[in-house]
Amino acid sequence: MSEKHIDEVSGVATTGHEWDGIRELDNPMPRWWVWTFYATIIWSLGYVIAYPAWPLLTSATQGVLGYSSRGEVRKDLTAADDAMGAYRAAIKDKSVEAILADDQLRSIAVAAGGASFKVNCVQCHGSGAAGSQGFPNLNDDDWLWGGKPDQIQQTLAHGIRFTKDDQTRDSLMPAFADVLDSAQIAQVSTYVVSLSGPVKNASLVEPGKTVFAENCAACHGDDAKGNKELGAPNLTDAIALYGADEAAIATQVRAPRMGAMPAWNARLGDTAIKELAAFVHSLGGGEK
Amino acid sequence: MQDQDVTRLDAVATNSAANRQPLYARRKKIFPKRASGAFRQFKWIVMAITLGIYYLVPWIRWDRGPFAPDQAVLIDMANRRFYFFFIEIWPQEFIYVAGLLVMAGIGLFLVTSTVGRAWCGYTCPQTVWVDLFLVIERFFEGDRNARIKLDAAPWSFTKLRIRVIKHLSWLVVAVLTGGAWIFYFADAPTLAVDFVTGNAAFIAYATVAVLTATTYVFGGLMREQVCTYMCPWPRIQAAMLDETSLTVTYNDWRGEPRSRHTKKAAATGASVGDCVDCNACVAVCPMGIDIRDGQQLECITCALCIDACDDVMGRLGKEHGLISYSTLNDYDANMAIATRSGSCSITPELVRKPDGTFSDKLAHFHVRKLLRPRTFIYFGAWSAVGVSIAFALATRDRLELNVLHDRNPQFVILSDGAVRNGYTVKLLNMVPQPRTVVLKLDESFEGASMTVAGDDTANVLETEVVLEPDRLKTIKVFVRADPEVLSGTSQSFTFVATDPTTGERADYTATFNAPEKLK
Amino acid sequence: MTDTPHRKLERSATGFMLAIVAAASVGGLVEIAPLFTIDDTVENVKDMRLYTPLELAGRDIYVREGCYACHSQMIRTLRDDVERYGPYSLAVESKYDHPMLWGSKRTGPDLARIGGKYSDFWHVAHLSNPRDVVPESNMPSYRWLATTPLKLSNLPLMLKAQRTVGVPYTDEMIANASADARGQSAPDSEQSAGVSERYGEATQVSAFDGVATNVTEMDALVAYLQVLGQLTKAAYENTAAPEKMPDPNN
Repeated sequence: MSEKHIDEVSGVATTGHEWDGIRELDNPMPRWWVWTFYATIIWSLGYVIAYPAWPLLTSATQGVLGYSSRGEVRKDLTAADDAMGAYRAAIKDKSVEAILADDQLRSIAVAAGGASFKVNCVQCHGSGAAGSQGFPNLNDDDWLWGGKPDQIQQTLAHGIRFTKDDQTRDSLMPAFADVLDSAQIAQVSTYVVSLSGPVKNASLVEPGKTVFAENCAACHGDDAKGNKELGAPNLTDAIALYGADEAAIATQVRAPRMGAMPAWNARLGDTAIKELAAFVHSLGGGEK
Repeated sequence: MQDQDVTRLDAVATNSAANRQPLYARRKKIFPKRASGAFRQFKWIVMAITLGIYYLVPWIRWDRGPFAPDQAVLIDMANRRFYFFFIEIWPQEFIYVAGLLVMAGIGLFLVTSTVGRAWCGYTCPQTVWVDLFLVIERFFEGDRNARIKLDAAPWSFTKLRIRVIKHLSWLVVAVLTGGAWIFYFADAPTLAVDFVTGNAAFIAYATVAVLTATTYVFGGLMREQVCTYMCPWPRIQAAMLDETSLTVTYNDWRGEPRSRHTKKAAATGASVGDCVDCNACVAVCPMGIDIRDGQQLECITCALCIDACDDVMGRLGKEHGLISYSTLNDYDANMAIATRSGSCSITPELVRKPDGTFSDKLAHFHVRKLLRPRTFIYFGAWSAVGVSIAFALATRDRLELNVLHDRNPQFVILSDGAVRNGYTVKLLNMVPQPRTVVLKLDESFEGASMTVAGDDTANVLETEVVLEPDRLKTIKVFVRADPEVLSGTSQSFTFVATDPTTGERADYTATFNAPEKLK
Repeated sequence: MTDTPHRKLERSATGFMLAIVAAASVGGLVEIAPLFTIDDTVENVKDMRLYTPLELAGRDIYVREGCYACHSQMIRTLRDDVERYGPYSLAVESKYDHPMLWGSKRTGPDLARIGGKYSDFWHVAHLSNPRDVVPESNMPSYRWLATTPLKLSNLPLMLKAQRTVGVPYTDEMIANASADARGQSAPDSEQSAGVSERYGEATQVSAFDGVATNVTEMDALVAYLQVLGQLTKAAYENTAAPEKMPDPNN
């Protein structure tokens, strides 16, 4: 532009634009703003060298710092692993029983196990580990497959009736609908109920005892206290997984439901299994 | 159209380019003259005490035994404890500190409503440090006139030398000020060594750097601007003053009309006041104001103008107190006398008897005038808070028990039919000594027993718990009860923790849940 | 005023608009366009398999019911995400997702690796009434899915539509879509063999809702949930995975 229009009042040049007699002053940007802007440009020069930035045809510049968000998460995880390294190494080396005996290690293992439990186990056993019908309560002192630390660990690692694991805990209760007639089933059910409480028809107890001795004692024991080797439940206690009255027991005798649990070894690894075992043991029902 | 139809106005555009003033004004330097007198003396003493407290308190030791620091005053951020001599404050006891802050607030109300802005004039750190910086400035540059001269002088080697030394001295003070602050937050002797050897935490250096900068900038460079522009307190205090509050007042009822030529004026028979317009009050003012303009926002009531004026009055053989601490009520009363209730301009003869002494009708300040409902209420509230804090502190618990009932599951049925509830028991040992407390179930919960997780004993009625000094101990406790003793789905019982050696006792009423139907 | 080029440009409405569009496109051209040519935008993995017709139908139900409003399918490269959900998601894993369901809202948990984590039975129980298995859940119930038969006749068209946007379904797959859906939900049936044949041995054939005789929407949705994160093992092989790949053969 050849001629500059100078605003009379301020003495500042205008941009030359005019709208209905209003002109825009051509004030320069504030200096602090301009310098900040230049500083960001200089910053960006360093940034594009240090960090991944320029897209090329089939790749992109990687930056001299070698930064990547995947590298960051790997670093984070490694750092977290390192921070826990000493404890996890100690947990890895010791048996669950030894972990439980060590005050500090126990509290760490129980906390870590609690976290694993919340992610992996609560879906069946509930967030309080109290289970529900068909899913055992892990707080109580009744254990199908044993409540000692190493027994819990074994169950966790290899699961129950989990066909894809060779060492899984396995047993099968036959469907007695094919073996016993309905009268016998009623008798033996009443007998089982009588072991832990009052029954509706006391006359069935005696014949039921005989049926039990002939058909059930092999697994559940003569005294009906069960057999943890076989996962045969104790029938004399106050806890029944599928219901405690005559009808529920009879249903179970006719066509038994048997819980299954996945083997967690492959997914979680030995250390996490031990932590989980320590957690489950510490819920209050763990056996010595 | 005729010219005489148009009235030409004598108007000038206020905001024309020629008249417009910039919105920003440079600070005009103030060169306060050294004052001497009773108030200056008092300010020296206050300065010595406040600076002494600030710099020395972190170095006082206080033995608390092997499990707690031996620094008398310590804010231990890392462990979240505040130590004040024999008092140890936990974070949850911060209410005591809040109480102290409430006291400080009400205390300021009390002080302000009685003696005006005494906080500003005597004890505010800004005032104290500016005073200190002025001492340094005066030491190197001389008093007011010398400083004005030096400031106006062109740059020379001498000027540069003096200025550099002055600013370096200020910086030393600033570093010491920032440096003293961090000693309140860690063991002072250790930190001092660490700090010098470069082993202290980064935050320590950062804090010192920030406080050094603020001290230097606020105390050395900004000075009165902090009070006038940055500090909200003058505005708040102004609202708390009333007509019975003491403020620094120019008693124009005896000073006006001021005259520099008293004798000449008296010879001509003109009425003259006591003010000889010597400007001594202006020269000493650190805020750069003229108190004769009346009470104003900038005045921090440091009373140095009183000292300056009293000095002049003394030399002239006149009564002290032309500028004095006075209440608005007294001032108004005297003003009414001097102006015949506003019917004439100030006439100094009206306040004096024919023999030249002050009239008996003049109002004088008396301490009793400060005793009024407002000050009583402030004092009452202030001491009520203080007594409450003291009482609460003296009777507070050093052993606390908190019990959280397991939310999920709320109860567990055991194989023998008994019901078990789980609790997280938190025992807080708030003294810096280890101790063993006995945790037990109270007797009213018959048939119940407890098991501590990880403990070898099971189903006991009481158990010993070892507490670390000054720490929280969390244990998991399972309580079991036979179904026969349970009534309903929930019942209360009490956990009791006792320290057998001190007899301290804490209890917590917990709930025991049971299913609706029990076998 | 002389006519500078700037002044000329400013005074031409169309020209100036074009200039604005050109200037505003720079960001997109630099940040987005290169992704189409850069090789590692989408990882190259060999074992990536296609959604079976049943899984694709389940995916449609997932979209229809708005599951994505509460569940993301995108495990971010953050420690918390990786520790909770498993290896972070790779772009290739949603290669055949049209549209992708990454999402950004997690009222419920991320589902990118939900497949294989729980049993079919659990999923059916959970979808029927989430509170039966997760008492604190605020997810709605979807129990009608178990009683609503899946519309099998649509499936060939759905596959065809996917093919037009680049999913390599073969003609054979499209022709057998309905049969394959029936086969995948009926183990040991005549039609089930074809599914593994066409979609790979890793395909999970199961009576998802517990009933093998009819194909319901529940079958489809559970089949889809069970395949999430299972289309390729790539994420487990070259990422910072704290978890081991769940190995069904273990």
